[in-house]
Amino acid sequence: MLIPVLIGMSVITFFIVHAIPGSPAKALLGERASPEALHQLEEKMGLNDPLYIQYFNYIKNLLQGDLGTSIQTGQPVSEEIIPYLAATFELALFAMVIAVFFGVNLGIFSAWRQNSSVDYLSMVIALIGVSMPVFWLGLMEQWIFAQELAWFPSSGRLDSRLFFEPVTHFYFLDALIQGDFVVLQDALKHMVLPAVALGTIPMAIIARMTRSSMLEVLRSDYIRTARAKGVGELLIIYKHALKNALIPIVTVFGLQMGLLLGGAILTETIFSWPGVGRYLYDAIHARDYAVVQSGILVVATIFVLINLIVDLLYAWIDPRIQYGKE
Amino acid sequence: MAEPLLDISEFRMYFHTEKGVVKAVDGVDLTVHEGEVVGLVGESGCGKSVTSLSVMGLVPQPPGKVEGGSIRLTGKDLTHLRQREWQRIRGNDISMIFQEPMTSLNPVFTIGDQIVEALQKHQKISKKEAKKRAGEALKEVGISRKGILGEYPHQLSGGMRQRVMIAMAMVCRPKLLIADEPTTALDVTIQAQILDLMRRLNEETGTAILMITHDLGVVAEMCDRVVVMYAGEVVEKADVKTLFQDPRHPYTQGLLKSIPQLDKRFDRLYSIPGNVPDPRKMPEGCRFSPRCEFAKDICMTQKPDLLDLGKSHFSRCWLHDEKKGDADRDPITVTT
Ligand SMILES: Nc1ncnc2c1ncn2[C@@H]1O[C@H](COP(=O)(O)OP(=O)(O)OP(=O)(O)O)[C@@H](O)[C@H]1O
Ligand code: SF4
Ligand SMILES: [Mg+2]
Repeated sequence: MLIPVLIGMSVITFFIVHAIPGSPAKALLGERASPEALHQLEEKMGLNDPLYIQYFNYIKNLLQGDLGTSIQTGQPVSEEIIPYLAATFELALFAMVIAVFFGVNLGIFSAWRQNSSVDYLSMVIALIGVSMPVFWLGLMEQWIFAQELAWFPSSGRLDSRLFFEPVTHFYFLDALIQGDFVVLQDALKHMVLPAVALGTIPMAIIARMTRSSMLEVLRSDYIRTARAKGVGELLIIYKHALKNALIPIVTVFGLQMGLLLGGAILTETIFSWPGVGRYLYDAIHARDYAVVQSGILVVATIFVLINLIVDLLYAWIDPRIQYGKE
Repeated sequence: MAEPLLDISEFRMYFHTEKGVVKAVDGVDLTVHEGEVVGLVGESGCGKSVTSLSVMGLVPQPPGKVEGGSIRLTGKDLTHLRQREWQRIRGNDISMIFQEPMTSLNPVFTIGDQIVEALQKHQKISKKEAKKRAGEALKEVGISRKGILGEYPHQLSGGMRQRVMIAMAMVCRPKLLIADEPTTALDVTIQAQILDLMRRLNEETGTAILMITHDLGVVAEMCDRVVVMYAGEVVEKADVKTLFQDPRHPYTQGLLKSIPQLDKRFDRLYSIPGNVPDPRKMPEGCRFSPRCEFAKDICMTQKPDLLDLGKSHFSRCWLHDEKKGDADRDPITVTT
């Protein structure tokens, strides 16, 4: 399942990227470069070969773990992309944690106090959350919390005046390994606004799904059985009901994580977050084929992996699902 | 007589819904003594489940509300307990099993985990000890297959699941087991097995059973005493033999006449005319009056009391009242 999807993705990205008008040689040498120089460079980059040859070369390299070389920097993409990828991952992870933690608990609370004012309030919040575009929320946050109140910085991952030598490029992990709490605190401050912007929509959607799923589960016979055993209300909700309610929530979660990757690119632009989105954005402008192709492929791979994880989650939650034992 | 284990007296549970007040249980008197098997019978919607759920404190409130009366367990009133106190009683002093074995077990936990949970909730024992006890409890209900503790509910048949439910309910040796139509959803042969099992457990452990059913056959087979409910009220109660041989309330007589009998299989099956009253618009006076062939003027306007007919036989009917009712028209006893 994984392999055919990835091959398909590689074909699609390859041809889309080559369909973008404009030549990378021109982008590199500038508008006023001489035709000879252009031709020479294109020849050197293999851009004049037939497309299918270019594609096979690309795949051949890919299989050897070579994602190509950036024509802007001359660096291998597989190395260059790592800090960007780490930045995006870190952002997505925080957004996801916010989305799941607040989404699930808000949903549970609403279901538990169904039709109370708390229920209505949280569902109104969820509705607003769902209908708010990421960029608008991001800009509002910047305006209120960064500019007016100045509680949080408005852009970047870290204050540029801080001296910091990243190892894994996950700043939180790095700061913890190095025991650098000044960096940790600063990284956290930079994280808040973009993570909230990115996490709000999935949070709202997860909250609504959790609520309806929990409402249904709480009415079921086995919940009554658990109560009849003397199980306390907290365990009823977080153990007996939630595990059953999670089944549809996980589906929504999987879909949202895919969208979250898309949202990450918008968020990165607004908050000048040095992630894959920015990396790709710049590469597209420069017609940096290798970077664009490989970058998209990496993102697609992550997407596929997330879906795989979601499937494994299903099997873990629901004993009635058993893969390969149909 | 000793103090009853369960003593429900003048108990009322109403539901306050948007469409009006549903007097689901409206004056129920019922006792269960230690080790006894008591049947609670009546047509669908007469309040059997609400009565039994009230004993467990499992009626959702709101919309439910206790409107009077008491439910005592060995003398202690349960109607105004706090959640904490309920949790100590449920599964420990009183257990309950339900009509739907297919959906009554949690699909995402193993059989073992679910029984162990019930044990560990009420007894301070190790997980290992609890597992051992869970295995024993399952043997007791006739499931001895290996690895059962690690199986999930969807791997078991309906009859097996009901056995698991019984094992789980009995594992803490409750004083009272409430069984709300435990065999209705099962095949006839499995029904008989489950009933046998319950009777045996009652004899071996001394756990009293409140058996809810609309099947008089089950009552005849299982119970020591019977309580008949109609439209939220108790209309007649007696020991099993008396009730079957000498039913006094016209509703009970109707119920008995509607049991299919092998030797009369060519007759058309009798059924009580009319329908159960709308619980939001109960008839004034005797609630059975719109369907009763013996109804008189007084029946339409005044509600009869539950009259003591002697020998622990009670019936709620004007016909037994010497002064107000017309004793001559006491319906002829049906013998079965
Ligand atoms: N949560 C509730 N809200 C409103 N009305 C309810 C609720 N639960 C039960 N009732 C009403 O109470 C009445 C008695 O219901 P109950 O379930 O006790 O009947 P039953 O005798 O157990 O019937 P059955 O044989 O069908 O199980 C019914 O009219 C029912 O509609
Ligand atoms: S009181 Fe009247 S209506 Fe009610 S059962 Fe007796 S005779 Fe019938
Ligand atoms: Mg019922």
